[in-house]
Amino acid sequence: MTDKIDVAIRRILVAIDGSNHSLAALDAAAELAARLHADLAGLFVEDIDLLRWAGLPFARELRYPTVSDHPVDECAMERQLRALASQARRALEEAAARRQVQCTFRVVRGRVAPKVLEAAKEADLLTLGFASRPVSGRVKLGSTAREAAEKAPRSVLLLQTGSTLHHPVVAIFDGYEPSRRALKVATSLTPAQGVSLTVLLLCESPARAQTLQQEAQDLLRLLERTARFHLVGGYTAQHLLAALTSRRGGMLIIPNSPLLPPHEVQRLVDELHCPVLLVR
Amino acid sequence: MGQVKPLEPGALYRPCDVEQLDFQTTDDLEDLHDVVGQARAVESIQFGIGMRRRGYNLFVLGPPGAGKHAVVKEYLARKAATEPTPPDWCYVNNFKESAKPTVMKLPAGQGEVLRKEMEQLIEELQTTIPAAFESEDYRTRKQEMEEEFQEQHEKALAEVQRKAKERSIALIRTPAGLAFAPLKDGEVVAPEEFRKMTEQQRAQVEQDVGDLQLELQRVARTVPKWKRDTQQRIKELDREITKAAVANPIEELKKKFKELQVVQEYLEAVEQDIIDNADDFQKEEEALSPGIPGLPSLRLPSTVHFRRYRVNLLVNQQGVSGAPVVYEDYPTFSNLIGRVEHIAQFGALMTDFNLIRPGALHRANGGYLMLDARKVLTYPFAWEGLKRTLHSGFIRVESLEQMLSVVSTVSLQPEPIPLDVKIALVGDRFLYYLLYQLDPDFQELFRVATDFEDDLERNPGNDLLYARMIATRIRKSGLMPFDRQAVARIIEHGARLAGDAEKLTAQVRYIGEVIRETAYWAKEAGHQVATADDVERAIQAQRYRSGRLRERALEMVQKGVLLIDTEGDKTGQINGLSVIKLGQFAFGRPSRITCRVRLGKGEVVDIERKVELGGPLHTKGVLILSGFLSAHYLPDEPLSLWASLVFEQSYGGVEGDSASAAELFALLSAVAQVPIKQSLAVTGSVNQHGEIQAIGGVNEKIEGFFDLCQARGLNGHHGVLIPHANQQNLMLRREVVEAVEKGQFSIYAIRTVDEGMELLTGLTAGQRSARGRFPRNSLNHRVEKRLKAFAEARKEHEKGQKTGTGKRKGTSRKKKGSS
Repeated sequence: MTDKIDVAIRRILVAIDGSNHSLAALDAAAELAARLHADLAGLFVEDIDLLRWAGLPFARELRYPTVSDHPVDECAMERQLRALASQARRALEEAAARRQVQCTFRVVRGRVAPKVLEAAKEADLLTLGFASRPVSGRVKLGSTAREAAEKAPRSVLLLQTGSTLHHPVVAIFDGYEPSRRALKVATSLTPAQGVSLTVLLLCESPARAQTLQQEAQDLLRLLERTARFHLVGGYTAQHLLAALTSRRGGMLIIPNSPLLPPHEVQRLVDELHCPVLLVR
Repeated sequence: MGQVKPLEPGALYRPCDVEQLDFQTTDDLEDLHDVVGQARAVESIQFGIGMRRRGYNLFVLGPPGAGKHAVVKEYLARKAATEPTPPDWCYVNNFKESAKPTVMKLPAGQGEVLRKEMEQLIEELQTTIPAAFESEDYRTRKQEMEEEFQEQHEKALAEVQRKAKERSIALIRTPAGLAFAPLKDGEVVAPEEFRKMTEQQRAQVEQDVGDLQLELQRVARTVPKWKRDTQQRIKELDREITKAAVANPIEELKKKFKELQVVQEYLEAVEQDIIDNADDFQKEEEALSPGIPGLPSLRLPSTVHFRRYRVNLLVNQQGVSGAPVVYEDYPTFSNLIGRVEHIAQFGALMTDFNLIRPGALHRANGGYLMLDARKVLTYPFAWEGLKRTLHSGFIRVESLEQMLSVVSTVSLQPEPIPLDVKIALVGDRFLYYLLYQLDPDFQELFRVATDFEDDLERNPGNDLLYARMIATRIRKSGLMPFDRQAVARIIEHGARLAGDAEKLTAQVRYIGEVIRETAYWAKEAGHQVATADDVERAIQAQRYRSGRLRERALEMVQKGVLLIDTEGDKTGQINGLSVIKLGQFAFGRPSRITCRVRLGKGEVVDIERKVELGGPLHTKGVLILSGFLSAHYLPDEPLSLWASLVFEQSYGGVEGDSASAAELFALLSAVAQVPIKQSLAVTGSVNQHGEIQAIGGVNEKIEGFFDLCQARGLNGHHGVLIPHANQQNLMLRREVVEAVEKGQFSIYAIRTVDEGMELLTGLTAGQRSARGRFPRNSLNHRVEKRLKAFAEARKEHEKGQKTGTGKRKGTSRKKKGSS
């Protein structure tokens, strides 16, 4: 059964915009690709909005952190985007070479989120950074990531700077089919030894938890794995955060659960500081 | 005047009266805690120790092996035990200026307590401080502050964004910063669409964007200030939290040391420093440098940060009672003064107050320090360092490089420690007098000279003390007991080592050697108690072991390589005696001295002097005997002889005047043309009045000649003439004494030249009569007669010369006349 899922992820798309978060996503994507023997596809989107804006006669940007005001024109923006694209290509090639995986790279022009979602159709997993370049110190899910999280037809892996795929893997389990898939993905993404698996049982009552645990255990037995179980006790982000003893490190696998409203998922993701895999 | 009689056997060796030793074996004797026969030295040590004033340090001088170290150490230890234990000394970090570590003086034993307490405190704080920072309360408060900042920031941005949105303008993120772009249907207005707008619309958009940009700039400029304020508040919070965590343990420590103001102040400084550097307690480990590619990153363990709260206990007096007595046997500069060590960290040398190491002066502070003068003078700058420290009264730990100003890198300058120590320098007499003369500081710093005697009086009381000293040494070395005959023999050996029948050597080291070696031989012989024979065996064995050269010299004489006659009579030839000292072993050796005379102008040529083989004392001896000759015989006539004196077959130098009597006898024999008995040998110096004076090494000299005669066969005529004053020095070997007892060998103690000449020639010397003449045919008469003949011949010769000159002049005149 695990083999079946391994085959399912053959192509990983990683959206690279040159930001540190996207480079973390690239690194995780490359590692997964190596682990699952998948191909790596890099995508750089030349933001059409930026190019349009740069074409306006009064286009000026306020640079950080110098807080200096500079005029910008279309040519300069084209150059900047080209430079970012080639940076992204280099980073991809280096990461792929390091992990010895096949990679392709593509530059497209358009609005970022639609282009990424479009490209994601051809892949089995979409990997991207939490945000591009946040203005304030607090990292919140960026607009592209948010849109991808909501609309992506495939599973989405979101990463932040400094987080890796090592450390314990936590999967949410509610007994529905997506969560069963999530559990399988969880086992396929983690090597058999060394990384422990924790399953959060999404239910309110201990009795239900027992049933869920039994189900999960049956499934895991087939996958030749063991796990530790925790009861979540509610269906809000707050409940889930409380259940996650440590918010840093590890990877949280969230299934497309009918019990979890999308805004709660979004709130949860905003508060987390660990890699998040949204399984479709 | 009759001939001098040979000395009785009893005068040749003064045995120790066994009867007066009232014990059977050394086990019956009590230990001797005091030193024998060094009353002067002991009094001087006691004075030196008691005199607690600067400059009254001791210089202990005396012969080697006199037990100076042991005696001084014993007395110092006795005195030190009654004195108060000096304080502990610690170096701690100077929180204001870490390059100048602070010194702390603590009551004895408290240093160790403080050191341990500080270690514990740091260990405790390493958990309590991080725990305080892990607490819910702290995290919430810190998060609140951070949130506040973020909210402030976001709120300001949101406000700008809101204003922008009102005007259908979006705040967009560019690769390098932020910008404003007009929107239409949720998308950025394309340039061509913008151009399609009316001029008024375009102006409005530009105006709006410009306003928003200014607004954003204002916000962006305020952000760093908010950030700074937040960080400051967080820092204040950190300090507050740290203070709360530290206050209690520090307060407890302060209570423990409430009587020590210096510790109170130190702990306050520590508390303040911990509060100022709370971060250190939160770091697990810190990267020292950004990683070098290919190398593991260099990391410093967290303990490095806490080194500054440690206590470097330099002098620990815990469990010590009394003042310290320290003997430093390797007194280099840094071993005396202390040093600052360095540790290599990633290629750089680092140091701090923890690496200050004490020197002997630190350890001895408040007590006594014993040093070997020779070593202190030998190690570079050790003497200078010691003197400077004694002068200043402070121990200033400084590296040699700093002292010599050869490096100027930043190093530590530890606060100096007040010095209160009594130094006992132990050394040779030679060094003492040299330092006294050449080093003005020495006189000022070492005012007490403790002079050890070379020997002590030999009397029944001292014999018994000597026996107890021997017994003590036997017991200390764990040896078998000695019977009283053995002890008596060792005492006799002590007299022999002193070179005097009425003295005992104070160089107890050599006595110790004999004791240990006796025990060895006794054990070899299977004895339970060492006997006199064992002692004799040990002495003989010592003599044999170091006798290679002596035997070689004897062999040379035997084989006729070195010409020495021990039979017959020879004119102008005599056997002199010299001593060769090799290390501790000395032996006597006969030398042939010859003299030739002829008519001359009153000159006695010392050939040794001419070829620079004779030392000044030897030359002096020859000049003295010339003085005797010219004044004793024909004082009214010019001395009209030329004489040459030489040590035959001597290829090394000759020094000392102990052969001057022999030289005079050879000269008189040559002048009087009277042969000298070659069966006799002579030692002694002579003065201008013809008196024979004492010399050194008399026992070895007699034994040297005896050995030769014995090897050739004693015939009853052999003997040695020694100065009368040397009689008391006689402690001859048993075989010499036995030969004398059997009449095979004789020793004569002479007072004057006349006595010597009578023995050597068999003629009467003769005294001047009332008319001033020597009796006819007496020896002196013959000398004077020959000298008179020389004088007359000289007159004749000089007259002849004058006449000869006249004739030549006459001839010349004749020639002139004839011409």
